[in-house]
Amino acid sequence: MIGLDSPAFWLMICALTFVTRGLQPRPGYRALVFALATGALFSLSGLALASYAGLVAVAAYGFVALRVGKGNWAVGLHAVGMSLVFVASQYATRAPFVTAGSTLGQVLPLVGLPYVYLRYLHLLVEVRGGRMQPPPALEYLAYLLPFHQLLAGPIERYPQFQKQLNAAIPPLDRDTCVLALNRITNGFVKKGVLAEILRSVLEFEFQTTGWRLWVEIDLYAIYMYLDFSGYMDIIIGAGMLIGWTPPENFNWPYFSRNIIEFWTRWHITLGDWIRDYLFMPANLWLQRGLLRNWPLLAGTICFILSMVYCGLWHRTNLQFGIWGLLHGLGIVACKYYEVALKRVLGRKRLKSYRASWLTRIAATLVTFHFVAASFLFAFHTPAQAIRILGGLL
Amino acid sequence: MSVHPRMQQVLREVFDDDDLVVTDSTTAADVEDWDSLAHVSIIVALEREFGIRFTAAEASEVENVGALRQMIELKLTQ
Repeated sequence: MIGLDSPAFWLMICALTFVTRGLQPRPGYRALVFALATGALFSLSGLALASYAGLVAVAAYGFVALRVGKGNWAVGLHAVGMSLVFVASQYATRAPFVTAGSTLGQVLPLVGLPYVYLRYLHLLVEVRGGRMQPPPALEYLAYLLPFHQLLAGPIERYPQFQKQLNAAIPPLDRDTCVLALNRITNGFVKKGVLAEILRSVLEFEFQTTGWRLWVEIDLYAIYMYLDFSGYMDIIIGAGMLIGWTPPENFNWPYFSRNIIEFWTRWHITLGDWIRDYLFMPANLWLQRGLLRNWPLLAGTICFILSMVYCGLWHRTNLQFGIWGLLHGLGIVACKYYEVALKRVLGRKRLKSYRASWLTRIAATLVTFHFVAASFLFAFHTPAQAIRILGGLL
Repeated sequence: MSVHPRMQQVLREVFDDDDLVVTDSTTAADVEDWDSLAHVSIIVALEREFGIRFTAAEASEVENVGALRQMIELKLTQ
Protein backbone atom coordinates (compact mmCIF):
# COMPACT_ATOMS: atom_id res chain seq x y z
CA MET A 1 0.00 0.00 0.00
CA ILE A 2 1.26 3.46 -0.87
CA GLY A 3 1.49 5.62 2.25
CA LEU A 4 -0.58 8.80 2.18
CA ASP A 5 2.46 10.81 3.12
CA SER A 6 4.90 9.19 0.70
CA PRO A 7 6.41 10.83 -2.41
CA ALA A 8 4.86 7.99 -4.45
CA PHE A 9 1.39 9.11 -3.40
CA TRP A 10 2.04 12.68 -4.50
CA LEU A 11 3.57 11.52 -7.76
CA MET A 12 0.36 9.60 -8.31
CA ILE A 13 -1.69 12.77 -7.73
CA CYS A 14 0.46 14.54 -10.35
CA ALA A 15 0.03 11.61 -12.76
CA LEU A 16 -3.73 11.69 -12.19
CA THR A 17 -3.83 15.40 -13.07
CA PHE A 18 -2.26 14.57 -16.45
CA VAL A 19 -4.73 11.75 -17.01
CA THR A 20 -7.69 13.95 -16.09
CA ARG A 21 -6.35 16.66 -18.39
CA GLY A 22 -6.35 14.20 -21.26
CA LEU A 23 -9.84 13.00 -20.35
CA GLN A 24 -11.48 16.39 -20.28
CA PRO A 25 -12.67 17.01 -23.84
CA ARG A 26 -15.23 19.55 -22.69
CA PRO A 27 -16.22 21.15 -19.42
CA GLY A 28 -19.44 19.16 -19.07
CA TYR A 29 -17.47 15.95 -18.53
CA ARG A 30 -15.03 17.40 -16.07
CA ALA A 31 -17.11 16.80 -12.96
CA LEU A 32 -17.52 13.14 -13.95
CA VAL A 33 -13.78 12.78 -14.65
CA PHE A 34 -13.01 14.31 -11.27
CA ALA A 35 -15.34 11.96 -9.45
CA LEU A 36 -13.77 8.97 -11.24
CA ALA A 37 -10.25 10.26 -10.52
CA THR A 38 -11.05 10.38 -6.81
CA GLY A 39 -12.20 6.76 -6.98
CA ALA A 40 -9.00 5.89 -8.89
CA LEU A 41 -6.94 7.61 -6.20
CA PHE A 42 -8.50 5.39 -3.54
CA SER A 43 -7.97 2.22 -5.59
CA LEU A 44 -4.41 2.94 -6.69
CA SER A 45 -3.19 4.10 -3.30
CA GLY A 46 -4.54 1.01 -1.59
CA LEU A 47 -7.07 2.98 0.44
CA ALA A 48 -10.19 0.92 0.84
CA LEU A 49 -12.87 1.66 -1.74
CA ALA A 50 -15.25 1.17 1.18
CA SER A 51 -13.79 4.36 2.63
CA TYR A 52 -14.58 6.17 -0.64
CA ALA A 53 -18.09 4.72 -0.49
CA GLY A 54 -18.38 6.03 3.09
CA LEU A 55 -17.42 9.53 1.92
CA VAL A 56 -19.92 9.34 -0.95
CA ALA A 57 -22.60 8.29 1.57
CA VAL A 58 -21.80 11.33 3.74
CA ALA A 59 -21.94 13.52 0.61
CA ALA A 60 -25.28 11.96 -0.36
CA TYR A 61 -26.71 12.74 3.08
CA GLY A 62 -25.51 16.33 2.63
CA PHE A 63 -26.97 16.51 -0.88
CA VAL A 64 -30.43 15.68 0.45
CA ALA A 65 -30.02 17.98 3.47
CA LEU A 66 -29.26 20.91 1.14
CA ARG A 67 -32.79 20.60 -0.21
CA VAL A 68 -34.82 19.67 2.88
CA GLY A 69 -36.45 22.17 5.25
CA LYS A 70 -36.74 25.95 5.25
CA GLY A 71 -35.36 28.84 7.25
CA ASN A 72 -32.50 29.24 9.72
CA TRP A 73 -33.53 26.22 11.77
CA ALA A 74 -32.86 23.96 8.77
CA VAL A 75 -29.35 25.41 8.34
CA GLY A 76 -28.69 24.89 12.05
CA LEU A 77 -30.15 21.38 12.04
CA HIS A 78 -28.16 20.22 9.02
CA ALA A 79 -24.97 21.90 10.26
CA VAL A 80 -25.35 20.09 13.58
CA GLY A 81 -26.18 16.84 11.73
CA MET A 82 -23.03 17.03 9.59
CA SER A 83 -20.94 18.06 12.62
CA LEU A 84 -22.20 14.96 14.46
CA VAL A 85 -21.20 12.78 11.50
CA PHE A 86 -17.75 14.41 11.56
CA VAL A 87 -17.26 13.99 15.32
CA ALA A 88 -18.66 10.45 15.32
CA SER A 89 -16.28 9.37 12.55
CA GLN A 90 -13.33 10.84 14.47
CA TYR A 91 -14.26 8.96 17.64
CA ALA A 92 -15.30 5.76 15.88
CA THR A 93 -11.84 5.50 14.30
CA ARG A 94 -10.41 5.16 17.80
CA ALA A 95 -13.13 2.82 19.11
CA PRO A 96 -11.90 -0.61 20.30
CA PHE A 97 -14.44 -2.51 18.14
CA VAL A 98 -13.08 -0.93 14.94
CA THR A 99 -10.35 -3.36 13.96
CA ALA A 100 -8.32 -3.21 10.75
CA GLY A 101 -10.04 -6.20 9.16
CA SER A 102 -13.63 -5.33 10.05
CA THR A 103 -16.06 -3.62 7.68
CA LEU A 104 -16.00 -0.48 9.81
CA GLY A 105 -12.22 -0.63 9.83
CA GLN A 106 -12.32 -0.51 6.03
CA VAL A 107 -14.73 2.42 5.88
CA LEU A 108 -13.04 4.39 8.66
CA PRO A 109 -11.20 6.64 8.76
CA LEU A 110 -13.10 8.63 6.19
CA VAL A 111 -10.01 10.05 4.50
CA GLY A 112 -10.38 13.76 3.84
CA LEU A 113 -13.64 14.09 5.81
CA PRO A 114 -12.46 17.21 7.73
CA TYR A 115 -12.17 19.06 4.41
CA VAL A 116 -15.40 17.58 3.05
CA TYR A 117 -17.09 18.77 6.24
CA LEU A 118 -15.95 22.41 5.95
CA ARG A 119 -16.63 22.56 2.20
CA TYR A 120 -20.11 21.22 2.89
CA LEU A 121 -20.90 23.75 5.64
CA HIS A 122 -19.84 26.53 3.27
CA LEU A 123 -22.25 25.18 0.64
CA LEU A 124 -25.02 24.78 3.20
CA VAL A 125 -24.80 28.36 4.46
CA GLU A 126 -24.53 29.88 0.99
CA VAL A 127 -27.26 27.77 -0.63
CA ARG A 128 -29.71 28.14 2.25
CA GLY A 129 -28.85 31.85 2.51
CA GLY A 130 -30.09 32.20 -1.08
CA ARG A 131 -26.73 33.35 -2.44
CA MET A 132 -26.15 30.21 -4.47
CA GLN A 133 -28.17 27.56 -6.28
CA PRO A 134 -27.76 23.96 -5.03
CA PRO A 135 -25.11 22.42 -7.30
CA PRO A 136 -26.01 19.52 -9.63
CA ALA A 137 -25.09 16.08 -8.26
CA LEU A 138 -21.84 15.47 -10.17
CA GLU A 139 -20.50 18.98 -9.65
CA TYR A 140 -21.41 18.68 -5.99
CA LEU A 141 -19.51 15.41 -5.70
CA ALA A 142 -16.50 16.79 -7.58
CA TYR A 143 -16.45 19.81 -5.25
CA LEU A 144 -16.71 17.85 -2.01
CA LEU A 145 -14.30 15.08 -3.06
CA PRO A 146 -11.68 16.56 -5.39
CA PHE A 147 -8.90 13.98 -5.79
CA HIS A 148 -6.11 16.56 -5.64
CA GLN A 149 -7.44 18.49 -2.64
CA LEU A 150 -8.99 15.67 -0.66
CA LEU A 151 -6.29 14.94 1.91
CA ALA A 152 -5.26 18.35 3.15
CA GLY A 153 -7.16 21.04 1.29
CA PRO A 154 -7.08 23.88 0.59
CA ILE A 155 -10.69 24.78 1.37
CA GLU A 156 -11.68 26.27 -1.96
CA ARG A 157 -15.00 28.14 -2.12
CA TYR A 158 -17.61 26.72 -4.48
CA PRO A 159 -17.99 29.78 -6.78
CA GLN A 160 -14.25 29.72 -7.62
CA PHE A 161 -14.35 25.94 -8.00
CA GLN A 162 -17.37 26.05 -10.30
CA LYS A 163 -15.84 28.82 -12.42
CA GLN A 164 -12.78 26.68 -13.09
CA LEU A 165 -14.87 23.54 -13.53
CA ASN A 166 -16.83 25.10 -16.34
CA ALA A 167 -14.00 27.00 -18.02
CA ALA A 168 -12.18 25.68 -21.08
CA ILE A 169 -8.80 24.18 -20.18
CA PRO A 170 -6.11 26.68 -21.21
CA PRO A 171 -3.40 25.37 -23.54
CA LEU A 172 -0.38 23.96 -21.75
CA ASP A 173 2.28 26.41 -22.92
CA ARG A 174 5.95 26.40 -22.04
CA ASP A 175 5.68 29.13 -19.37
CA THR A 176 2.85 27.37 -17.55
CA CYS A 177 4.79 24.09 -17.64
CA VAL A 178 7.92 25.72 -16.22
CA LEU A 179 5.96 27.47 -13.46
CA ALA A 180 3.99 24.34 -12.58
CA LEU A 181 6.99 22.01 -12.57
CA ASN A 182 8.98 24.55 -10.55
CA ARG A 183 6.19 24.65 -7.98
CA ILE A 184 5.90 20.85 -7.85
CA THR A 185 9.68 20.48 -7.51
CA ASN A 186 9.68 23.05 -4.68
CA GLY A 187 7.00 21.00 -2.97
CA PHE A 188 8.89 17.73 -3.30
CA VAL A 189 12.11 19.34 -2.05
CA LYS A 190 10.34 20.90 0.94
CA LYS A 191 8.20 17.90 1.84
CA GLY A 192 10.16 14.94 0.55
CA VAL A 193 13.71 16.12 1.19
CA LEU A 194 14.08 18.94 3.74
CA ALA A 195 11.22 17.92 6.04
CA GLU A 196 12.28 14.28 5.82
CA ILE A 197 15.91 15.12 6.68
CA LEU A 198 14.77 17.14 9.71
CA ARG A 199 12.48 14.34 10.85
CA SER A 200 14.96 11.52 10.43
CA VAL A 201 17.92 13.41 11.92
CA LEU A 202 16.17 14.95 14.90
CA GLU A 203 13.33 12.44 15.41
CA PHE A 204 11.63 15.11 17.54
CA GLU A 205 11.49 13.17 20.78
CA PHE A 206 12.38 16.31 22.78
CA GLN A 207 14.68 14.50 25.19
CA THR A 208 17.30 17.28 25.19
CA THR A 209 17.45 20.34 27.45
CA GLY A 210 18.56 23.97 27.32
CA TRP A 211 19.50 25.55 23.98
CA ARG A 212 19.49 22.18 22.18
CA LEU A 213 15.84 21.71 23.14
CA TRP A 214 15.10 25.26 22.05
CA VAL A 215 16.62 24.56 18.63
CA GLU A 216 14.70 21.27 18.39
CA ILE A 217 11.36 22.98 19.13
CA ASP A 218 12.12 25.69 16.54
CA LEU A 219 13.14 23.10 13.94
CA TYR A 220 9.98 21.13 14.66
CA ALA A 221 7.93 24.22 13.74
CA ILE A 222 9.99 24.58 10.57
CA TYR A 223 9.45 20.89 9.80
CA MET A 224 5.67 21.39 10.14
CA TYR A 225 5.81 24.32 7.74
CA LEU A 226 7.97 22.51 5.17
CA ASP A 227 5.74 19.43 5.29
CA PHE A 228 2.42 21.25 4.95
CA SER A 229 3.45 24.05 2.59
CA GLY A 230 5.40 21.53 0.48
CA TYR A 231 2.17 19.61 0.04
CA MET A 232 0.43 22.82 -1.01
CA ASP A 233 3.16 23.57 -3.57
CA ILE A 234 2.60 20.15 -5.16
CA ILE A 235 -1.17 20.65 -5.23
CA ILE A 236 -0.94 24.16 -6.68
CA GLY A 237 1.64 23.06 -9.28
CA ALA A 238 -0.47 20.05 -10.26
CA GLY A 239 -3.52 22.33 -10.44
CA MET A 240 -1.68 24.65 -12.87
CA LEU A 241 -1.19 21.71 -15.22
CA ILE A 242 -4.95 21.18 -15.52
CA GLY A 243 -5.75 24.90 -15.60
CA TRP A 244 -7.21 24.63 -12.14
CA THR A 245 -5.18 26.60 -9.66
CA PRO A 246 -6.27 26.14 -6.05
CA PRO A 247 -6.07 29.15 -3.71
CA GLU A 248 -2.77 29.83 -1.94
CA ASN A 249 -2.65 28.54 1.62
CA PHE A 250 0.64 29.96 2.95
CA ASN A 251 2.35 33.35 2.89
CA TRP A 252 5.56 33.18 4.93
CA PRO A 253 3.63 32.62 8.19
CA TYR A 254 6.68 32.65 10.45
CA PHE A 255 7.30 36.28 9.53
CA SER A 256 4.00 37.30 11.18
CA ARG A 257 4.31 39.87 13.95
CA ASN A 258 1.40 38.53 16.00
CA ILE A 259 -0.94 35.52 16.16
CA ILE A 260 -3.78 37.38 14.44
CA GLU A 261 -1.51 37.99 11.46
CA PHE A 262 -0.20 34.43 11.67
CA TRP A 263 -3.68 33.08 10.97
CA THR A 264 -3.92 35.21 7.83
CA ARG A 265 -0.68 33.63 6.55
CA TRP A 266 -0.83 29.99 7.77
CA HIS A 267 -3.51 27.69 6.35
CA ILE A 268 -5.11 30.81 4.91
CA THR A 269 -8.23 29.13 3.53
CA LEU A 270 -9.00 27.62 6.95
CA GLY A 271 -8.47 30.99 8.69
CA ASP A 272 -10.78 32.66 6.17
CA TRP A 273 -13.41 29.94 6.60
CA ILE A 274 -13.39 30.30 10.39
CA ARG A 275 -13.55 34.09 10.13
CA ASP A 276 -16.50 34.05 7.70
CA TYR A 277 -18.59 31.19 9.08
CA LEU A 278 -17.88 31.23 12.80
CA PHE A 279 -16.12 34.34 14.11
CA MET A 280 -18.11 36.89 12.11
CA PRO A 281 -21.66 35.54 12.68
CA ALA A 282 -21.02 34.81 16.38
CA ASN A 283 -19.44 38.21 16.97
CA LEU A 284 -22.21 40.03 15.08
CA TRP A 285 -24.79 38.20 17.17
CA LEU A 286 -23.08 39.10 20.45
CA GLN A 287 -22.36 42.72 19.54
CA ARG A 288 -25.93 43.29 18.39
CA GLY A 289 -27.42 41.87 21.56
CA LEU A 290 -26.01 40.72 24.85
CA LEU A 291 -22.63 42.48 24.56
CA ARG A 292 -23.58 45.56 22.54
CA ASN A 293 -21.51 47.81 24.80
CA TRP A 294 -18.58 45.43 25.25
CA PRO A 295 -17.10 44.78 21.80
CA LEU A 296 -13.75 43.67 23.20
CA LEU A 297 -15.40 41.09 25.44
CA ALA A 298 -17.50 39.86 22.48
CA GLY A 299 -14.29 39.56 20.46
CA THR A 300 -12.55 37.71 23.29
CA ILE A 301 -15.30 35.09 23.49
CA CYS A 302 -15.45 34.68 19.71
CA PHE A 303 -11.68 34.45 19.24
CA ILE A 304 -11.44 31.70 21.86
CA LEU A 305 -14.50 29.87 20.54
CA SER A 306 -13.18 30.05 16.96
CA MET A 307 -9.71 28.79 17.80
CA VAL A 308 -10.92 25.95 20.02
CA TYR A 309 -13.16 24.89 17.11
CA CYS A 310 -10.14 25.19 14.83
CA GLY A 311 -8.14 22.93 17.15
CA LEU A 312 -10.87 20.33 17.49
CA TRP A 313 -11.41 20.34 13.73
CA HIS A 314 -7.78 19.28 13.26
CA ARG A 315 -8.28 16.38 15.64
CA THR A 316 -11.11 15.85 18.07
CA ASN A 317 -9.08 15.30 21.23
CA LEU A 318 -7.94 17.18 24.34
CA GLN A 319 -4.48 17.96 22.94
CA PHE A 320 -5.75 19.76 19.87
CA GLY A 321 -8.45 21.48 21.93
CA ILE A 322 -5.69 22.90 24.15
CA TRP A 323 -3.62 23.85 21.09
CA GLY A 324 -6.61 25.80 19.73
CA LEU A 325 -7.27 27.36 23.14
CA LEU A 326 -3.65 28.52 23.33
CA HIS A 327 -3.94 30.19 19.94
CA GLY A 328 -7.23 31.80 21.01
CA LEU A 329 -5.59 33.11 24.19
CA GLY A 330 -2.62 34.28 22.12
CA ILE A 331 -4.91 36.31 19.85
CA VAL A 332 -6.77 37.76 22.84
CA ALA A 333 -3.49 38.67 24.55
CA CYS A 334 -2.42 40.51 21.36
CA LYS A 335 -5.67 42.47 21.29
CA TYR A 336 -5.47 43.50 24.95
CA TYR A 337 -1.78 44.40 24.59
CA GLU A 338 -2.67 46.57 21.59
CA VAL A 339 -5.45 48.33 23.53
CA ALA A 340 -3.14 48.92 26.51
CA LEU A 341 -0.36 50.26 24.27
CA LYS A 342 -2.79 52.65 22.59
CA ARG A 343 -3.83 54.00 25.97
CA VAL A 344 -0.29 54.34 27.29
CA LEU A 345 1.47 55.62 24.17
CA GLY A 346 -1.33 57.39 22.30
CA ARG A 347 -2.00 56.93 18.59
CA LYS A 348 1.05 58.75 17.20
CA ARG A 349 3.63 57.11 19.44
CA LEU A 350 1.98 53.72 18.89
CA LYS A 351 2.42 54.23 15.15
CA SER A 352 6.14 54.90 15.49
CA TYR A 353 6.45 52.00 17.97
CA ARG A 354 4.91 49.69 15.41
CA ALA A 355 7.06 51.07 12.60
CA SER A 356 10.29 50.41 14.52
CA TRP A 357 12.29 47.52 13.02
CA LEU A 358 13.33 46.51 16.53
CA THR A 359 9.66 46.05 17.51
CA ARG A 360 9.05 44.16 14.29
CA ILE A 361 11.91 41.72 14.93
CA ALA A 362 11.00 41.20 18.59
CA ALA A 363 7.29 40.69 17.80
CA THR A 364 8.11 38.24 14.99
CA LEU A 365 10.44 36.21 17.22
CA VAL A 366 7.91 36.07 20.06
CA THR A 367 5.16 34.99 17.65
CA PHE A 368 7.32 32.31 16.05
CA HIS A 369 8.36 30.83 19.39
CA PHE A 370 4.79 30.90 20.66
CA VAL A 371 3.62 29.00 17.59
CA ALA A 372 6.53 26.55 17.87
CA ALA A 373 5.85 25.86 21.57
CA SER A 374 2.13 25.45 20.91
CA PHE A 375 2.82 22.50 18.56
CA LEU A 376 4.09 20.57 21.60
CA PHE A 377 0.62 20.76 23.15
CA ALA A 378 -1.02 19.47 19.98
CA PHE A 379 1.01 16.27 19.87
CA HIS A 380 1.63 15.56 23.57
CA THR A 381 -0.47 15.39 26.69
CA PRO A 382 -0.54 18.70 28.61
CA ALA A 383 1.71 17.21 31.32
CA GLN A 384 4.24 15.98 28.75
CA ALA A 385 4.27 19.33 26.94
CA ILE A 386 4.84 21.22 30.18
CA ARG A 387 7.62 18.78 31.14
CA ILE A 388 9.32 19.31 27.77
CA LEU A 389 9.05 23.09 28.08
CA GLY A 390 10.46 22.80 31.62
CA GLY A 391 13.63 21.47 30.00
CA LEU A 392 14.24 24.92 28.53
CA LEU A 393 14.95 26.34 32.00
CA MET B 1 -26.01 64.37 4.94
CA SER B 2 -24.97 61.84 2.31
CA VAL B 3 -23.78 58.39 3.20
CA HIS B 4 -20.01 58.83 2.84
CA PRO B 5 -19.47 61.59 5.49
CA ARG B 6 -21.59 59.67 7.98
CA MET B 7 -19.62 56.51 7.26
CA GLN B 8 -16.37 58.37 7.76
CA GLN B 9 -17.60 59.68 11.11
CA VAL B 10 -18.53 56.14 12.21
CA LEU B 11 -15.08 54.86 11.18
CA ARG B 12 -13.40 57.70 13.09
CA GLU B 13 -15.35 56.79 16.21
CA VAL B 14 -14.59 53.05 15.92
CA PHE B 15 -10.87 53.67 15.39
CA ASP B 16 -10.84 56.60 17.82
CA ASP B 17 -8.98 58.65 15.22
CA ASP B 18 -10.32 62.12 14.28
CA ASP B 19 -7.80 62.46 11.45
CA LEU B 20 -8.87 59.30 9.62
CA VAL B 21 -9.84 59.97 5.99
CA VAL B 22 -11.27 57.18 3.84
CA THR B 23 -12.18 57.07 0.16
CA ASP B 24 -14.16 54.53 -1.85
CA SER B 25 -10.98 52.64 -2.65
CA THR B 26 -9.83 52.37 0.98
CA THR B 27 -9.53 48.73 2.06
CA ALA B 28 -9.04 47.15 5.49
CA ALA B 29 -5.36 46.71 4.62
CA ASP B 30 -4.97 50.51 4.32
CA VAL B 31 -6.09 51.17 7.91
CA GLU B 32 -3.69 49.78 10.47
CA ASP B 33 -6.22 48.70 13.10
CA TRP B 34 -8.84 47.34 10.69
CA ASP B 35 -8.75 43.65 11.60
CA SER B 36 -11.59 41.13 11.87
CA LEU B 37 -12.66 42.37 15.32
CA ALA B 38 -12.71 46.03 14.22
CA HIS B 39 -14.62 44.96 11.09
CA VAL B 40 -17.49 43.57 13.15
CA SER B 41 -17.53 46.73 15.29
CA ILE B 42 -17.71 48.85 12.10
CA ILE B 43 -20.59 46.78 10.73
CA VAL B 44 -22.58 47.00 13.97
CA ALA B 45 -21.87 50.76 14.31
CA LEU B 46 -23.02 51.34 10.71
CA GLU B 47 -26.18 49.31 11.38
CA ARG B 48 -26.99 51.62 14.30
CA GLU B 49 -26.13 54.79 12.38
CA PHE B 50 -28.26 53.98 9.35
CA GLY B 51 -30.94 51.76 10.95
CA ILE B 52 -30.15 48.87 8.61
CA ARG B 53 -29.06 45.25 8.99
CA PHE B 54 -26.24 43.36 7.26
CA THR B 55 -26.14 39.61 6.89
CA ALA B 56 -22.96 37.86 8.03
CA ALA B 57 -22.22 37.07 4.37
CA GLU B 58 -22.54 40.72 3.37
CA ALA B 59 -20.30 41.72 6.26
CA SER B 60 -17.67 39.21 5.10
CA GLU B 61 -17.68 40.01 1.40
CA VAL B 62 -17.06 43.77 1.66
CA GLU B 63 -13.95 44.57 -0.38
CA ASN B 64 -13.55 48.28 0.28
CA VAL B 65 -15.28 51.37 1.65
CA GLY B 66 -16.94 52.02 -1.71
CA ALA B 67 -18.57 48.59 -1.72
CA LEU B 68 -19.75 49.16 1.83
CA ARG B 69 -21.20 52.56 0.85
CA GLN B 70 -23.05 51.07 -2.11
CA MET B 71 -24.44 48.31 0.10
CA ILE B 72 -25.74 50.90 2.60
CA GLU B 73 -27.26 53.05 -0.15
CA LEU B 74 -29.02 50.01 -1.59
CA LYS B 75 -30.42 49.06 1.81
CA LEU B 76 -31.63 52.61 2.43
CA THR B 77 -33.66 52.57 -0.78
CA GLN B 78 -35.28 49.21 -0.05
